[in-house]
Amino acid sequence: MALAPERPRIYEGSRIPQPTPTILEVPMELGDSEDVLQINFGPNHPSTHGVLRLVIDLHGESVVGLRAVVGYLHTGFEKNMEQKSWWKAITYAPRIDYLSFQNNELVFVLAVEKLLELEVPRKATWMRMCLAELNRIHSHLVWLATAALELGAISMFWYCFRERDQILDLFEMVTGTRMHTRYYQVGGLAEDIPPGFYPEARKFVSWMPKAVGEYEKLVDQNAIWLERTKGLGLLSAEDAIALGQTGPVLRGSGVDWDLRKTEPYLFYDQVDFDVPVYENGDVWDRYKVHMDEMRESTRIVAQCLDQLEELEGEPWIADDRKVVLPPREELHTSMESLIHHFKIVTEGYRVPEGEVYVPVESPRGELGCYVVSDGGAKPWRVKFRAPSFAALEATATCMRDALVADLIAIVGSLDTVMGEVDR
Amino acid sequence: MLVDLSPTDYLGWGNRGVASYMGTTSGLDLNSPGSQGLARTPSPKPKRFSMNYHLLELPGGARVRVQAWLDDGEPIESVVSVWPTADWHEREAWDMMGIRIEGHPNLARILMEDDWEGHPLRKDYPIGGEPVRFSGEE
Repeated sequence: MALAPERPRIYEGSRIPQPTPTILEVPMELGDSEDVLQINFGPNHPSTHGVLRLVIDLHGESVVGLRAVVGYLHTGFEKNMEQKSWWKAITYAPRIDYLSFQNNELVFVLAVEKLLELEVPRKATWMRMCLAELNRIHSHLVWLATAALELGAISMFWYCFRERDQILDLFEMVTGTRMHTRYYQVGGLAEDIPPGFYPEARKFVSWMPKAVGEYEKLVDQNAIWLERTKGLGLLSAEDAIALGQTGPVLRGSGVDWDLRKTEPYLFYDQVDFDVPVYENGDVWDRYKVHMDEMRESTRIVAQCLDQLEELEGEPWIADDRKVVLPPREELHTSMESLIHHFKIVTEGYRVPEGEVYVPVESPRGELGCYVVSDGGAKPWRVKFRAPSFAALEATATCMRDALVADLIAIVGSLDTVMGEVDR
Repeated sequence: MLVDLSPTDYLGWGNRGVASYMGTTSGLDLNSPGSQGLARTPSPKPKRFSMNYHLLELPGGARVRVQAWLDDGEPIESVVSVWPTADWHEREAWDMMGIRIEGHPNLARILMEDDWEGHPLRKDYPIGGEPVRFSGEE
């Protein structure tokens, strides 16, 4: 039986470094010491979840200084989206965060729909919710697999990727693609849901809670896992809010805040689920939040499937010919449809002038999309509020009193995706 | 909580007629005639840049967007002392839009290289203008 180490209580007051909140500076008394060694951690280190470079100052095993350098994955998504017509720009959104592609797609589509004041059929909304939750499980599985792998729990990786593959199979069945599905259109879905989806999704939903139990069996009693997660990377609720944390990091610090409950979008106000909140703000609590969220997401998926099966045969996309492509078979018989099709494909549709900010709860926290339109066929400005970007800012605060080996556990627990940080 | 900071460049805003006539040969306007017709320009903006501070009240949940307007080169006060999370957001605003933030403790580029020239998200920054290394065209 493993021993759970004593957990230090969450600290009082603020631990955010001064004057720069994201840089941990070497203390004065160590300033000119020859024992302080500065090293580059990354950008190509396998445990940095992409290409993150941390410049760390080591005094023995302890980290006394830290500075994060990002930007290695900057691809100019926002600039590119300004050059594309609205419906082509949707393709870029899922690639920004390559683990929560459905949620990224969703937030952009929701923002455009808000500008257009477009009504979406309920079947499409339920399906969007179903896929967004499957995507949340997928993202959490990849997080758990890699975070555990980095701490030496190698078999965890194979277990998690087993279920992840089932989710990707479901995505493939619905959309034809395993990642970056681009299944959401402005107005609804790109295609109808294939009938084989429901039995397969049901199978997954009945299996998933058992799988989460298996993961917990693997690590919850594991002395090394407990030792390396409990009481590490402390972040108090006040500091988390000051540093703009959202999602599992914020809920692991004891703040009950989930946009699905507090600002329900889609039909989240019509489903039954709980929001896990843990108090201690360490790596362990963030891990527990992720595990509980996988169970809750499975519950939501089951409820979505119940609703979707009743809505079989209903339209999956809005019937607005100014924005939505006409059905394929109409192009052979209707001149008007052919014109609409030609106009939308060549020029794109126009979105009324205005600016909106739409937030959704992505697997990593508040994912926001700020969109400005001048009334033309292309976005004037698209800005993504990336939760990982804010999460990385907390690294310096979490790394107080940490050893170099803890760095991997702490950076891992913040669940960052560099594609989203650098955009 | 400061959720996000979105700088926007409005250079050239309203220079093109954006909502042109969209019709069929029979003269039917496919757009609703009230809102869109022949070239119409969007409503003018006070200055070139806008800084949008997206604020969120916790745990109340109220959302506010504070908008500040700036000309090119006009500085704006840093808010790092109020919201520590603004640190990287302001660095991004400087890096991508070239907005001068006054009083920021470490205003370095964040996404682009330190010696990069120009600010890529500005409207006058060309797309596809930068050389591609090892492409054979150098």
